Amino acid sequence: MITFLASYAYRIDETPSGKPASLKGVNPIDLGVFRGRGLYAILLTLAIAARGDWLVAKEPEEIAASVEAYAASGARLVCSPGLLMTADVLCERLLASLKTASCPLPIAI
Amino acid sequence: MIIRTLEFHNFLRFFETSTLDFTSTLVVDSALALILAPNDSGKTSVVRGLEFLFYGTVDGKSGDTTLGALVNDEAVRASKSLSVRGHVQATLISKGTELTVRRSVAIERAPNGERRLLRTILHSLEGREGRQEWKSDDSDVIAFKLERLMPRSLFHYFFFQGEGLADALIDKQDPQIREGLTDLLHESDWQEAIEDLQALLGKLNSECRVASGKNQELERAVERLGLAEERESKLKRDLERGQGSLQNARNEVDRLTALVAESVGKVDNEAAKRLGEVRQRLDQHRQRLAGTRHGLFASIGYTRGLPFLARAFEPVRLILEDLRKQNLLPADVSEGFIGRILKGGKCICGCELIEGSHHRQSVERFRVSSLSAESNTDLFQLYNLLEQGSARGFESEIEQSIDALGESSELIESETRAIAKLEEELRALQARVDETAQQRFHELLREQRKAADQQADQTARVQEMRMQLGAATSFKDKAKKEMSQLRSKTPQRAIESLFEMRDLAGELIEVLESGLTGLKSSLHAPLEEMIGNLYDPVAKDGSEARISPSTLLPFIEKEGKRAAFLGGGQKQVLCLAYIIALAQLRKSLHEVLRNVGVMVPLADDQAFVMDSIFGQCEPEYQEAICKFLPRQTGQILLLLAAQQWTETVRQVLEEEVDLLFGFEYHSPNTRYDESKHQFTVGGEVHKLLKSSGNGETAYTVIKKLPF
Repeated sequence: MITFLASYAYRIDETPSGKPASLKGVNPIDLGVFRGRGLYAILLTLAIAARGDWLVAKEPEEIAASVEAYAASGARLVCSPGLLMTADVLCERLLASLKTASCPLPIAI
Repeated sequence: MIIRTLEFHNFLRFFETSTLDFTSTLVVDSALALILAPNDSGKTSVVRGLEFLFYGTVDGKSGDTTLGALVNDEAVRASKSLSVRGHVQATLISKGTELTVRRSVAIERAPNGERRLLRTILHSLEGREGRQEWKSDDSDVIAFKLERLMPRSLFHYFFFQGEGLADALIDKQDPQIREGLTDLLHESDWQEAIEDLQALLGKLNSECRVASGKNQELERAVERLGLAEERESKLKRDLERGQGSLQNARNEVDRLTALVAESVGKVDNEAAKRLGEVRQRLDQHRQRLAGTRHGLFASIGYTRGLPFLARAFEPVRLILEDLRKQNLLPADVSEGFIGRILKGGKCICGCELIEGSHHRQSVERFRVSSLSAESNTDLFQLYNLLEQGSARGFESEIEQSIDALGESSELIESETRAIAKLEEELRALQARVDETAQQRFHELLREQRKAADQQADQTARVQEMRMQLGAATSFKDKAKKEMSQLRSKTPQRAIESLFEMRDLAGELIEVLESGLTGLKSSLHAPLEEMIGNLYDPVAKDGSEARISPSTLLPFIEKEGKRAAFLGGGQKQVLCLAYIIALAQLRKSLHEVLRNVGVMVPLADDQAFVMDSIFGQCEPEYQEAICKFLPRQTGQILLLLAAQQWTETVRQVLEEEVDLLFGFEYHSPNTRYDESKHQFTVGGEVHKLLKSSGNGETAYTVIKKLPF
């Protein structure tokens, strides 16, 4: 869900906002969890693309902060009033984009 | 039995004393008294009052609460005393003799307002004109007389609420009605005579056995014959009951067959079948659609949002490409290794790495741009995943996901189209198929099959009974023959006369049994003729009234088949025709029986009290009832509410009415629409709804209206 939301926010140029909270939270998600599920490469892509520098790969906390900020933006987008992104709606938008654009992704919501 | 006066005092709806006096119509052969009553003003109180007067019950009940509730509410409210009394009183004329009776009910009010029944008591007015006094019926003689005048089982034939009787008589074939018919035919009297004779026969058999005591063979033969006769008689009764049940089962099958035949016309079987198929297919498609959508959501989840990141692939790949060019991917020297060199203070080339030296600064810069082994692996893996054209890379994965999503999407589209098409067909079929009729049809089919099974069972039982009876009769004949032969060998005069009496009693039983059967069958034809004369001319669908030979209950036949549907008032016409025919038949049957010496109470013209007989009646049937009713019996009291006093009824009945009464209803409800409770008779408007003024209770006062 986190990678999905973060990727979604990145795709529609949603600028991450707010301070990441999870790292200071009581029980942050260990990056090893993402690694174990084959998601680390996605996090890394997102972090490098966001910073434009591979050096971020040396800073796991920086990667986590970047991903979290994007995911938070993605979540806000999905839950914004008047645009409650149910799975149904998300599917329909994805499918609509499949039919209409050469790029198989929604350009904007 | 004719009613001369009927008086209510503080009884149910009637406050203080109200009287219906029919004296002025007694000279008329078939008097019709019309009683107009607003809704809720006490029409039913009249029938209940008569039941209370005749039997001391209301709707068959005689509990303290039921009887305590009979005293009028307004009388209880207005009374200064704790005990309050109400009564019903009538003067009845039967065979030219007058009988005046009164049944009272007294209650006591408890401080909490509840009622406690004190007593009910029956009085009769006794003594000569001018010196009459009320006497209580301590010996129940008057109660017995009243029951003889109006047998309880016949009460609801003659004093009834229209639709209720029609439903009980025609639809439910209430067993109590059969009881009423039994009374009508005096079956119980015949049966009693047969049982008396059977007891006598038993005694004579004993006497015969004793008398032939010296001849043991003859004694045994008498005993055998006695047993054989008893068994034959029992089997005859069983067979008769069995045949009755079989006829009932046949009637039920006929009735259901008629209903099925009528119902089948309302059912479009082909459309109904297709409707079932369409529903099934719709269910299948909906399930498939739900499954596909579920799969689609799962597929989207499996993408992990990767397709959204496609824009980032190229810049990241370029960054990593650059890193690779620097020979850092995979790293020749790890960050940790350089760290350890710096810590040791000596380079691999052997020079000292002194703090602040140029050499050390170069190594430290190199360390910054170097990678840990883990990061190196991560970046190297990412580089491979981002490589263009790689079969295991991100782009390939996205292509596969998109293909899967596309397939699901196409499936969803095709399922959605199929569902839309089927829903359209479903709507069209639903408009064609009356599903209620469909369900009713199948219910009827099930009932018909069940009834047919019961008929088959009963047929088998009756056949078995016939065989048993045949065998019993043959055994009895044989026993009789044996006994005759033995008697002829014992010519003793005393014994001979005893045996002759015995034979005579046996023959008499047979005569009575066949007489009763004959009487029942002989009633069928006149009853059918009478009801036919009343019903057939007014049935607008060409149907004809028939009487079931076994139950003597009425039914309708149309085009040679038993008809099921009796709507629009047909049922009321049939019902009224039937009870009038019964009353006439009862009168003539009693005359015939008395002429041939059978002592039954003489029935004369019958009074009818008919409450709301035009419910659900179409104007043609209202007119028919109004036309045939007035001239059929000695006295008719017709109670009608405003909605039944229709133009059709008014036009016909105004010519026939001999006496007119109105129930003036005093209601605490001030929101009534008075126009709905007024009656126009003979051009005069009668307003029968008044405000009671006390705001608490409703009551009725009977008024004789000018006419």
